[in-house]
Amino acid sequence: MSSLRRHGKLIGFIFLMLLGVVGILQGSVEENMLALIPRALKQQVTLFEHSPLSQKFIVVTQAPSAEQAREKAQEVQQALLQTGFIKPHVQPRGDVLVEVLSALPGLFSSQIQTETEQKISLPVISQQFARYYEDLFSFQSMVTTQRMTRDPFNLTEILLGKWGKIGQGVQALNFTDGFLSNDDGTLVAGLYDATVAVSDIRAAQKMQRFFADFQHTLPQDVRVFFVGGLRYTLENVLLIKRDLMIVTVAGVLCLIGVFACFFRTKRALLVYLLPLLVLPPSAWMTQLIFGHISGITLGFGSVVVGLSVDYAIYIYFALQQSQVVADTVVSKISKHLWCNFLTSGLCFVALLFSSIEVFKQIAVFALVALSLAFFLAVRILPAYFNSQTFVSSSIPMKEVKPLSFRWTICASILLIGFGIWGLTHLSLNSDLNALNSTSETFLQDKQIAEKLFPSDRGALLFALGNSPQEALGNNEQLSSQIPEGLPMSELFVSEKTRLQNLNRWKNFWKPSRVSSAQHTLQSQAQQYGFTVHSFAPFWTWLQNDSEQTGFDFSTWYNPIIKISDTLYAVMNIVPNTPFYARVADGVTSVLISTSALQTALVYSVKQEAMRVVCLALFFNLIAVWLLFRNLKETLLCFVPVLLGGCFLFGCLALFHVQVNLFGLIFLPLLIGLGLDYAIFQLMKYRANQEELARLYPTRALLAAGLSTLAGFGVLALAKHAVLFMMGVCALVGIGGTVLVSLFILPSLWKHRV
Amino acid sequence: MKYCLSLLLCLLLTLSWAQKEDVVLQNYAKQISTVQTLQSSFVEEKHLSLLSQPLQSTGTLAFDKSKQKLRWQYQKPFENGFLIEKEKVYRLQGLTKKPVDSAMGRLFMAEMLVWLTLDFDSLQKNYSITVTGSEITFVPYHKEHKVVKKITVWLDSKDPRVVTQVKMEEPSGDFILWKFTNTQLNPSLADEVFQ
Repeated sequence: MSSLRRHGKLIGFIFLMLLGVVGILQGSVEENMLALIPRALKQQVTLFEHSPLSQKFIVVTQAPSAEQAREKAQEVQQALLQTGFIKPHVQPRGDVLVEVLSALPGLFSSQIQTETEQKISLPVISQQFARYYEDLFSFQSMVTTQRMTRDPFNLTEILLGKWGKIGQGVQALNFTDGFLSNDDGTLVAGLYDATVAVSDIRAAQKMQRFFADFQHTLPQDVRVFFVGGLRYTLENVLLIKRDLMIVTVAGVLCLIGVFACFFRTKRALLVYLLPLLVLPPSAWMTQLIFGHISGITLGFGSVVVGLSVDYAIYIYFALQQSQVVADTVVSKISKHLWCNFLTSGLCFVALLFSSIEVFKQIAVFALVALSLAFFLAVRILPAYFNSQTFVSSSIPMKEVKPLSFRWTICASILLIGFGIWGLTHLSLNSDLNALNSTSETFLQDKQIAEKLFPSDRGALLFALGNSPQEALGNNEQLSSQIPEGLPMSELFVSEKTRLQNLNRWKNFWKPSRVSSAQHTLQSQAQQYGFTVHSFAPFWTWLQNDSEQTGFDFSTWYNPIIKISDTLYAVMNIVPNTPFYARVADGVTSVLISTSALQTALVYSVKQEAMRVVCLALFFNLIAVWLLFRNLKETLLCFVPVLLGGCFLFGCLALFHVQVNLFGLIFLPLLIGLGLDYAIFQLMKYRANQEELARLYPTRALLAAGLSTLAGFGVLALAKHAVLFMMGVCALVGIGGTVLVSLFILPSLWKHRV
Repeated sequence: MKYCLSLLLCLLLTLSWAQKEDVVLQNYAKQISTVQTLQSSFVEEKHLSLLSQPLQSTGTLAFDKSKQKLRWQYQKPFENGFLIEKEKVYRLQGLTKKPVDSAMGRLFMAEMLVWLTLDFDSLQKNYSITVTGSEITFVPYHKEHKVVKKITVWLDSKDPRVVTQVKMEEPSGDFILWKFTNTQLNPSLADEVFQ
């Protein structure tokens, strides 16, 4: 019982950890592009993600000759059909084309009325019957005879013409036999509807295996691969899994190295036990708040490992240097520990003000972990360091010799110059794809596929509404602002417009017009030997059933997307021109193109970065001021941040590291975390008594810095662009800050005195 | 008892007749299977209810069983037709050759092969076949068939490997009659014939 009382808090924490592990295992890890997008752009990306096109996947065949490319494309199509990966492509049958005519009355707009007037004019009927007559001598006449009798004026052609206009001006490629191809035909692509959900990782893996097996059956110079949502799912999940594995193993190995260098005692193992206790409940808490947790947030776990051990490390080394009991030592350095906790924590508080979900997740995750780690380090672990088995012995201080004031000034000037040069030569990658974690092979495949689907040529124009009817109505209004109209608005109409169209149809086919059309038709038909009653089915339909709704184009393709219960959109494919960007008002209509989205994303992320950086600096300034109550010392604390930042910018430019959008936010944030080491040094040098100064051994700073680097810096091994950026910034930025704190800051402080 | 005996007698007679018909079909099939290549001229007559007069067109037909190639060429009054090369089907329009969707092409090719080789085993799956001398009638089991009501094939009485006429009747009453003349069996066909 006494043991339970003694170890109660620790047991409680172990229980919390186990609860966290169970919680995480029951929850879901999700990787969603939306979590990386600022709130201002979420609607656009959501619309894009919901578009029917995003559910498709493209199978690309590359071969030395056009014949071989087409032959292999057909083979892979057959194999995909047999394995059930794709739905059989429904060919519009002859009798289905006849049914299309029944859609005409409901779509009978004033434009279609004009076209119909032309169709029933004498010259057009004459040409039409010449074509019909020739068709009768061909082999397919068995199928077309029915069409002739039910649609003698070939009015179906008007609707099929509108159908054919969808996406016109966007594709500049050849489309034959169900395949898109480049000019020489050596690159052939099939566009398919997958039978599985885009996010189904097992299906994506199965398909990947299928393509790998199929590739083995092909000659060496022929390549077949797939791109699209399924491939992105596969690439993202596999890479993040791989990253987590590598980062965890590398992080553990580095921490073992730090342990071997600085600790080498059984008691010190408690220091590294701390992250194990705090990470699972923190991840679980994040999962509970957001409903899921991102792989990127979990990847950030290694960063928290590095940060959370700092408090315990400072206490451990302070105890080593002191003869007094642990509680007394903790109370002596508590001011520093609190400030340390505040500076790290406030950086994450600033991150909470970001509208990017994954940053909020990271902020919550880190804040919970740091709070728990702080509590453990200050309230629970000292008792174990203080036990009788732990012999607190004063170890002679081995201090690092700082630079002289003259060299400090030289080094500072050099670093500032290096930083300015770096900033002017920094390579910023604002490509959206830089945020996706994909392999080199995938990027190569994507480049090949983009030759067939140039993403800069087309754009998606969405008409929004609270209901499908409202969205259709808004699409019609949008179409009226465009001289050539939107083909979608002519084939998919609101109920109000449908009733107007039916009325127009009824008024159009007045007895006098019917009689005139019958007369013209019969005169032409008789010239080619058609009997008087040949076209009776058409006239019967016109008189009796034409106002009844028949064929609906949504059976072929449905452009209405449900975003939520109160938001619907009609998707149009339009050329990516400034005109369409002007037409979209952003309220009832939104235009999305890769280029526009990219520009908006860069702008939005820069704004986010500015906000987060300013907040982090402001919060930290207050925290440091509260600790020192001295302007000069407060400003001195920021010297390592400034020079570390210069070192980072210089190195990024020197090694041609492309900074992606999220680097912008993490760059200053991570350097902000480096404030801790400056505070440690200042606390050490400003201590009046030698006994107090001994509580801040350089070994503690090195162990804490290297632990953070071990946790944080290993992210540089990740393939995921965001994790990689965080890792590089930490490795160089925090590394630089530690070095500046050790070698430059002391002489600046002494000079101040 | 008398009733039962008459029923048994009828059944036996039907069975023996059916067996006899099977033997005839097998005999025809055996002879037709020896045809590897074929070339012929044809006259096509279309009797359509929507026209007051039947339409007549003429053309040629070439078939290579081993290479799975077929050219059906209309020459008069309009030049068109189709070409099959294994699983690929092309529509011929004047001097142009346009590919037809491969899935449809495969189906078309399979169907044409069955008819050109008079593959009775396959045909029996979809049609009820009756033989009267050199006249063979095919009626689809599926009564609601939209295109075909009945197909009648006439074989040459002297050489059953030669098809002289085919009549395809549609449910609407329309029908098409093909009359084949100058049929050459197993001629050597140059590749140019199918180009």
